[in-house]
Amino acid sequence: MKHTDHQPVAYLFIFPWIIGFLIFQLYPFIASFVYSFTDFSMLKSMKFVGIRNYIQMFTRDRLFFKSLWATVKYVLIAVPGKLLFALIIAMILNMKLRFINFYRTVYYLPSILGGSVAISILWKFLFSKTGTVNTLLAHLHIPPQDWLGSPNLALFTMGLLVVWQFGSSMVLFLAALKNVPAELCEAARVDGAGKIRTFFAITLPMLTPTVFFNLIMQMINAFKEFNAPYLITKGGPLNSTYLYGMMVYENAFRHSKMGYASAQSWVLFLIILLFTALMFKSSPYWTFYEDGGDF
Amino acid sequence: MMKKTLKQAGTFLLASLLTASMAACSSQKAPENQPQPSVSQADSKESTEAPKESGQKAEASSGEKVTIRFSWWGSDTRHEATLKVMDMYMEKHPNVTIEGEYGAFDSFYQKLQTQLGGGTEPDIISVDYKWVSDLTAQGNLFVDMNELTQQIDMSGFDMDFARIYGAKGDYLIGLPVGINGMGYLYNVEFLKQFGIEPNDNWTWDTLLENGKKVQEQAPDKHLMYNHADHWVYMIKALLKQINGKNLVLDDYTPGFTVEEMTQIFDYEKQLVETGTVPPFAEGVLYETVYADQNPNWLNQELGIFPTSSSLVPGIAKASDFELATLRYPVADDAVNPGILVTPSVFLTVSANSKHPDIAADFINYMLNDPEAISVLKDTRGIPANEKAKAQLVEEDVIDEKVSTMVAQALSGAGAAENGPSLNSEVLVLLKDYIQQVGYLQMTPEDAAAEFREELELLLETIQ
Amino acid sequence: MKRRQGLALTYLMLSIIGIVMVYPLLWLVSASFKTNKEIFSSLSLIPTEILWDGYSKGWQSSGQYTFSTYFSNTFVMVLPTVALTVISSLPVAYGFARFRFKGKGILFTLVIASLMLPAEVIIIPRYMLFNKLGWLNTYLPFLVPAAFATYSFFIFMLVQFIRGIPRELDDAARIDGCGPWGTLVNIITPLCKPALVSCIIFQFVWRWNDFLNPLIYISSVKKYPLSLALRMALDVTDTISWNRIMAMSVLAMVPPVALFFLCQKYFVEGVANTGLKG
Repeated sequence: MKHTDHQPVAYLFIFPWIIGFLIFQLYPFIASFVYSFTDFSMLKSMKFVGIRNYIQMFTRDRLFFKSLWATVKYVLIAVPGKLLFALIIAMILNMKLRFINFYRTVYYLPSILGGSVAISILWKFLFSKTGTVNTLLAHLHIPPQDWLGSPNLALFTMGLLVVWQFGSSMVLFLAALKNVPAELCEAARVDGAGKIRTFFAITLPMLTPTVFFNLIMQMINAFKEFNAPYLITKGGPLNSTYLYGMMVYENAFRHSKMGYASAQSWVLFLIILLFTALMFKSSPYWTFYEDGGDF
Repeated sequence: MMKKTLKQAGTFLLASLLTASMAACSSQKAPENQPQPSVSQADSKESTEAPKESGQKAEASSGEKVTIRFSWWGSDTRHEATLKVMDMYMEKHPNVTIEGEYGAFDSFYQKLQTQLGGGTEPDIISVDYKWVSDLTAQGNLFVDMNELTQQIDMSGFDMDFARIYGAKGDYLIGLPVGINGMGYLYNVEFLKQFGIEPNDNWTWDTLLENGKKVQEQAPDKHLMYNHADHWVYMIKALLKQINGKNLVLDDYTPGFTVEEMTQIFDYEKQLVETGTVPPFAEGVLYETVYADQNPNWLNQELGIFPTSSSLVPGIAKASDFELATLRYPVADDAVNPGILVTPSVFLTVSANSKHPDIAADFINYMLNDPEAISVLKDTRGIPANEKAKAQLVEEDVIDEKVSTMVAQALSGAGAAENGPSLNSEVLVLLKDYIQQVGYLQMTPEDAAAEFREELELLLETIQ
Repeated sequence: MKRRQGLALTYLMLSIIGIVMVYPLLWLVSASFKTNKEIFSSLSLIPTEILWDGYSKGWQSSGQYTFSTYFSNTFVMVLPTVALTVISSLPVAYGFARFRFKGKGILFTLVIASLMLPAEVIIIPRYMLFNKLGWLNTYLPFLVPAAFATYSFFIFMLVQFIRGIPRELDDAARIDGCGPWGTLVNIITPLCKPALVSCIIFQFVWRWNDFLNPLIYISSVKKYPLSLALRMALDVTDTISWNRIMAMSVLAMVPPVALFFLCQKYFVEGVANTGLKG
């Protein structure tokens, strides 16, 4: 490479980000760790309480584990559901069909409106006892369900809202599919591999980096979901949709337990870190990089 | 055409990017200029948006422009009347601008807390009696009403009533606008149709019997629907009728034994099992909205909606069928009748207000001015101000249902609620166990035992 | 013949999925013209009795402010934020993509790490910080972080895109006498157009739909963006004409959808070429 090894001019370009990062990300990140050992509210001054928040969380808070479990379930419903759907549709759309642009646009539309309040209103209506979904089921002679009222179904119904927005991942998969060299597939077919073999032997491995990226981003998004539980079910019924993000919000801003909420947010951070690390650790076994995987 | 605008927009953006950095290219190689001149510009422009805290102490009478903010919750009926009174006041005082901040009860307290914490609260704040003990525990956030006797005519108010719920020692947080009584609002045609006789001697057993009657004749209809908060009221009323105590005693211990709570949860279970109330899974979607937004009520599939009287005008407006009220059920052997009678809303003045005089003057206008009174009517319950009440009675504008419900409640008014029983976390905990029982996930015995245990743990932390 | 049948089946399936995807949105539009009763009971997209007043009455809203206020608030909040995000992220991305410097590895790792930092962790200290600065109930908590390129997703996206631009072009520019800054302006920026458009769309849509942040930072109705206004309309009405709320929901969706349709071409190209592979 011709370039010298150190070009200080670059610091000028990234300078704004460094400032922003320090003030709006690193400082809050450290502060919240410090806060997690204190007790304070907007109206109450800060008091150091040691690890009491953590002890209370793990031994006394009846909602903590419930919420954590609901969140993990939600992630397990929403993320694989969304990615699988996105992948399948992307494969179909990649078959050089006509009107691809049209379908792609239609499928992408829900992703744009995604987490908006309007969609939450809509979801509540569609899945209410007398709502459209139940009316449709009645036409098919299926008895009406309490989509959002039953503790067993509510989380699933909320997961559907995420799957409905599969378009955003689909677009990324489509882009990745375009990068799969056609010669490779041709070669495989010449060698006598069937369509399904080709998919598993050639296409899927080429897609794994995209899958990996999506998996992590979607997982983080699902872990911090707030709008759907807050706007659609208020965390009910029986706290079955009381997702972690909502719990942190309520403790901080409704019960005025800022220190405690900070401790909970740190536990969430560690959990996400753990999941992410596991994925990174396992990724060499299932992702495939042409160039060896350097950034 | 569209494409063209898009292109223009794109060019515009690029152009702004270019101008932001143009200087660098032509001048020299090393870009020692500030990286983003345009950014800092936009910043300073935005900062003029910051709250106008110009801090002048202006008198209402002087011509200086003054803006105060006033927050309340409620339904459209209340908004319309309140906004009209604000307009009337502003017309009389052209130098004063009043900005309304209104929303639903459900999220109001949450917002208020963030505002108080950030010092961005309005000048005049509506406060529910349930929050008074929480708020007074955090210092004197509001101007002591005792200091505003010059600005506000309080002669029509029963100050003892105001103090029961609105004071901590001598410190009085605000003035109660209205009196609120708990009662049953019912659909007249519905009860008639099922041969149910409404009278003021209902006990809890009457309720169950009538609930069964409805189910026998129409399995998809239910006698009653309890809003989430109302389940809490019901449990508290039952408890007062059984042992005369509050849910949590003043010394932060539970005001009930496991046996007593078992009995109460068992009654809840019977309400569900007899179909007197709809299954929880069906009702949960509407548990935080009142009857005016509950489609089952509006479609006449429910007969009774327990409510406090101040909500009656809003519900009546939304319901296109005849309504009337019933006294809240009282057991024959009740220790204390337990019906909740409270101030509907306290109007308070923020201690941070830059214009407490004007805020007080507007409160005075709302509560004492005959014109304001006849516009506001009973939208915040029957006025607590005797003079205002007399005026409305004379004008014959009080909704008869509202006055009847208050009268019925006063005939069996229960012991006052205390601060610990109104703590927000205590209420969340109770609601959880109400749901556990209501969804038939826990037996009343287990729920009662566990609830008492959890409550004791919780009370240790909030004491 | 068999192939043709398969193709027809594929199209049929795609169409059915398409209907499922779009039906809820169409239903919302049609509900804005329906009576309450029909909203609750009918699957049909064509109202039997058409109510025209949903839009006018819904826009009027129930209080001091109409949806004109809420719409303009949203634009005032979102547009500068989007502009600042793009303007600040591009140079940073350029710095990372085109230069070698000490600490680059660590710094870029931090960009990626902050991308994965869940918002809950920093929301409370940020709130306390903005409170101290007196920024609560203003739009500054949205604008200032954007001005400092803290939406690291966009840095990441642009870095990936710039890496795809041949370095020879930079070299040519240098020979023509352009410094690094000039190269950014004259060469990189025009070539980044698709990626920039994608950034604009993403950020616009996210800010437009954002609910949690306004909920925390904005407290007076006068400054409410649409997301809070809709929530309020939903909560306080006692004269519930659902069609009005549906109508306002429809209108709230128009700007992001319109932007998407207008910029679709660039958007697809942008996403495709940023090669968001990880």
